[in-house]
This record gives sequence, structure tokens and C-alpha cells, in this order.
Amino acid sequence: MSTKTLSVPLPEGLERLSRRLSNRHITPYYYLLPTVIPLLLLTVYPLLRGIYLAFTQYNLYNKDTTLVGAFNFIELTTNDTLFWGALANNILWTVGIVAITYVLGLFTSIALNENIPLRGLFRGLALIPWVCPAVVAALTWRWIFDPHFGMLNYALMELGLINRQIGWLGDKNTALAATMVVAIWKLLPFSVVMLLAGLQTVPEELYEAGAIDGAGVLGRFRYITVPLLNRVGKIAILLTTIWAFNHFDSVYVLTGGGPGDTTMLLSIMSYLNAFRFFKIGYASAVGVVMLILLLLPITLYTRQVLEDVE
Amino acid sequence: MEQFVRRRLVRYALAYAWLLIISTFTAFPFFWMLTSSFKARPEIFTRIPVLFPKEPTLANYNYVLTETPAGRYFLNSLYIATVTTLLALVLTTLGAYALSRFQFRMRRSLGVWLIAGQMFPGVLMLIPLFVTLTRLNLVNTYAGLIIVYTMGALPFSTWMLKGYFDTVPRELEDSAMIDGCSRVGAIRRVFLPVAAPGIAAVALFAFTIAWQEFMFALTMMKDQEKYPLSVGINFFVGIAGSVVWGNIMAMAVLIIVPGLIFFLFLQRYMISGLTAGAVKG
Repeated sequence: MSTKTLSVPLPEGLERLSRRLSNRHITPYYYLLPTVIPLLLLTVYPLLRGIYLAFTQYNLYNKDTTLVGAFNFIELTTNDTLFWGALANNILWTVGIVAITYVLGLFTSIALNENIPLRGLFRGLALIPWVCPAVVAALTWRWIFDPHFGMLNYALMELGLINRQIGWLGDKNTALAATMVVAIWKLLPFSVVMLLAGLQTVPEELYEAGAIDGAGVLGRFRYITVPLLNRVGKIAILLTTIWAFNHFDSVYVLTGGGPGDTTMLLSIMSYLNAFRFFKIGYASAVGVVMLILLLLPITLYTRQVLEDVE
Repeated sequence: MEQFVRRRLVRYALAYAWLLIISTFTAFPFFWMLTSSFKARPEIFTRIPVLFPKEPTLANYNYVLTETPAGRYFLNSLYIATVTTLLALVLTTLGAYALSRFQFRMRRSLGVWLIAGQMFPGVLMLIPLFVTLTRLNLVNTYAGLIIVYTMGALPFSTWMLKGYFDTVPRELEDSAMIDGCSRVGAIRRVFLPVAAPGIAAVALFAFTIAWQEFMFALTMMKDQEKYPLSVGINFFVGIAGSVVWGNIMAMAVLIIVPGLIFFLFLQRYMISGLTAGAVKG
């Protein structure tokens, strides 16, 4: 036995290796590795690298990286006239979009949960913005918002709600609200789908029992619908918050941050710094600030989803 | 009894009223896009907007398909989105199967990463990816975009599909394996056919990401003839000015139609897939 091992140690080792590799504890990794390795390379690495870049000054052409410590962050918070405005816009933008999308989504899903004729058609119509790329949405809405040839001004003037043409996207007072409308339009389908799915898990008997016990429409809404939507609603709100906060496409196309930086968001500010002014490190610092602000919603969301599974 | 009937009628009326308002909001831009793509110039530049073109014309489509590279953009997008979808399907199915069926170390941390991984600010990921892909000579290539989109679709799809796989009873493969199938055979012959709706949802999700994405494509594609549709239409608006609405709307319709067809067929799967992870009955 021992001489055998001495004379042919390699095949024995190989055999052990092959036995170990076909062990059922290893099997999961065969399935996972093709997913995990690229995933690590393309999400973990850029994330860490992006955080690192925020502490450097990086030259895109000669690939020179100089560590500068917290310089970018100090510059950003003390010397950049754009930053605090963009941050305020971003927060206002996100809070407004999340609140309005949730309320519209709630009403729409409640209406769609009624057993009415044509329900399928209306559901399709409510979900249709989903298939529209943000760029296309932005271009179409740009025309609707057009001061001279746009549908919105015409309709509002016909209804007597306004008496002069408004340049929705060009006016500093209305531009942010106008970009929010487009984002709400694009996010509404998700909110409707989530809340509708949540509503459909509420058994009809619960409402009947509530009605028998004398609860009115509002009472049933308050004490049956709202608590049961709690979980789904939380997920919908957290996801819309994260998406709205990170949003880039439609605002970039609609206004590019203007007029007068009134629609400047952090993502646009970061993008312009990186790819127009080639301040890669500085742009990454803006991204890191976004990440820090998002840590709370991301953590809450992840915890909520994991909790539901376990 | 009568009171119940009356109450129900009031509820229906309210539901209809609300649905009419909200679908006007969601569907009007589509209606506008579609009808305007058939309008000639005089019907576009009017102070009183024309809802239905009185003399519908195909001139906008004709112009867009012959005088602009829209057809080229379309093929670029189709190529990128198809390859992305196929790659995502294979990788997601493997990963989700392991997460759903096997116990292993790091299972939980991987789950956390899959859930959180799609939430990071796009720009924060864009900058280092751009730097890395430049170094690998993958900027300005289809392959570069396909890689980025596949990775973008992967975390959420894997998690979504895992949720779906969890609902497929494990006994299905077990009995096939007892009958002499290998695990791979059991997956292929028994498991995959049952799990098909969830996989269809992933296909729709990945295709939609690749078809709609703008920021990465805008940054990474330098040659005009490699633009996907989203960047192409924005580029066209940039050079033609934002006034040739008829042409722009014709291009917009070309972008939306494939997604719309895909969506109509797979809508049910998309909804069940999306909510499988989030809603437990």
C-alpha cells in the first residue's frame, strides 16, 4: 500500500482531486461560477474601483492616477456652486416622484382590482409606458410640452386654465416639475403592477366581513387595504426611490440640467464632469455621494426582500 | 340589497372615471406618437393640434428608412438585445437553479449582492466600467455593450428567477433522477419545461434593458454606424433640430413596436415573474 502510494503519488492525488470535485458540496459552484465570476468582475470591481477613483485625480488620456485624499469631496462641498443645488433638486425630485407615483399607483390598482368590464384593456393602457424607452418618452413629451405647438398648452388654454403659452421645459419655474411628470409616467406601471399584485392577495371575504361589521368604504380602506398593502407598498416605495434618485436618461434628453441648472441632478452633474470635462475622479466623488445617500434605502430594501424569503 | 347594488354602481363609476383619467395620461403620448408619424408638415405645425391626420402619409417612414441610418440603428439594437437576452438566459438559469436547489456557503451573501447589486448609481458604475473597457479595447464595440447589459440584467433576473424556481416542486427532478436521469438530464427534460414562464420573464426583462438603455450606449459608442436606436434617435434630433417631429415620431414608433409585441405576448409572465419575489400570497 505504502509503496504504491510512493511510486504513483500523482494519480492518487488526481483521483482525490477528481473525487473532491464531483462531491455534491462542490456541485452548486459549477452552476454558479459562470454567473458569479462575470458578476464579480463587472459589478464588484467597478464599484470598488469607482470608490477608489473618487479619491484620485485620474487622467483619461495618459491613464495617470494621483491619489488626492478627500480633496474631491472637499472641493465638491465647499467650492462647487452646483453641488448643493443639484443635491436639493435630486431630493425634491425623488420625494415628489415617489409620493405622486405611489398615490396614482394606489388609486389605479384599486380601480383595476374592481371586477369591471374592459378591465384587461385598462390594465394594458396603464402598463404601456413600460415598453417606451426613456429617450423616446422624453422626446415625445418634449413635443407635448412645446410652448407653441405642444398639446399641453393648447389643452390648458382651451379649458381656460392658462391664458398665455408656457414654455414648460424652458421656464425655470416649471422645468423641474415637467421632468418629474415624464419620470412619473415611466415609473407608474411598476407601481401599479406591484400594488395590484398586493391587492389581489387580499381575500374578498375580508371586505365583506368588514362591511357586515359596519365599516364604511373609507374604514375598510384604512383598516383592511392599507395594512395588507404594507409590505408590497414598502417594496414599491423603496424601489421607486432608488430608481428615481439614480435617474439620468429622460432628464438628460429633456433639459440636460437646464435652464439655469434648475433641473441639474447629481447623476447629470457626475456625467458631465466625467465625459464633458474629463474630471473622472471628481465625477466619481459625486457618484460616491449618491451611493452614501442611497445606502439606507438599499439596505432597507435588501433586508425586506430577504426577510420575505426566510 | 338595493343599497348594495347602488353602492356597487357608485364604485364602478368611480373606478371607470379614474381609469379614464389615468389611461389618458399613460396612453396619450403613444397615441400622439402614432398618429403624428402619419402626419405631413402642415398638420404638425399648427396652433390647433390635429388629433387624427386627415391625409395620412407614409412620407415620414419613407424618409426615416431611406435618408437616415434608422434601419441600421434598428439592426444594431436587435443584435445587441438578442445576444444579451441569450447570454442572460443561460447565465441566469444556471445561477438561479443553484440558488434555489443547493445549500452552500455564501448563499446568503450572494443573495444580498444580487438584490443590492442593481441599486448602485448608474454613473458610479459607468465611469470605472468605461475606464476598464477602454483598456480592454471594448469601448465602441457591440461586445462591450452586450457585456455591460448582460451584467445589468443578471442580478435582478437571477433573483427573480430563483423566486420562480422555488415554486417548482423539488420532487419533480428527484423522481426523474430516481428514474435514472442525471441531474442535467432531469433539469433539461423535466424542470425547464415547467419553469418556462419564469425564464420567459427573464428574457423579456433582459431584452427590455438592452433595447431601452441609453446612458452606457451614449458613452461607449463612438461610431455613428454602431449606434443602437436609443442613441440614434437622440443623435438624429441633435442634428436635425427638435422640430422635424413627423420624422422623429416615425423613428419612435420603430423603436417601440418590437418591445410592444414582446410585451403583449409575455406581459403575463413578466408580471408574475416580477411579483413572485415580492409578493407571497
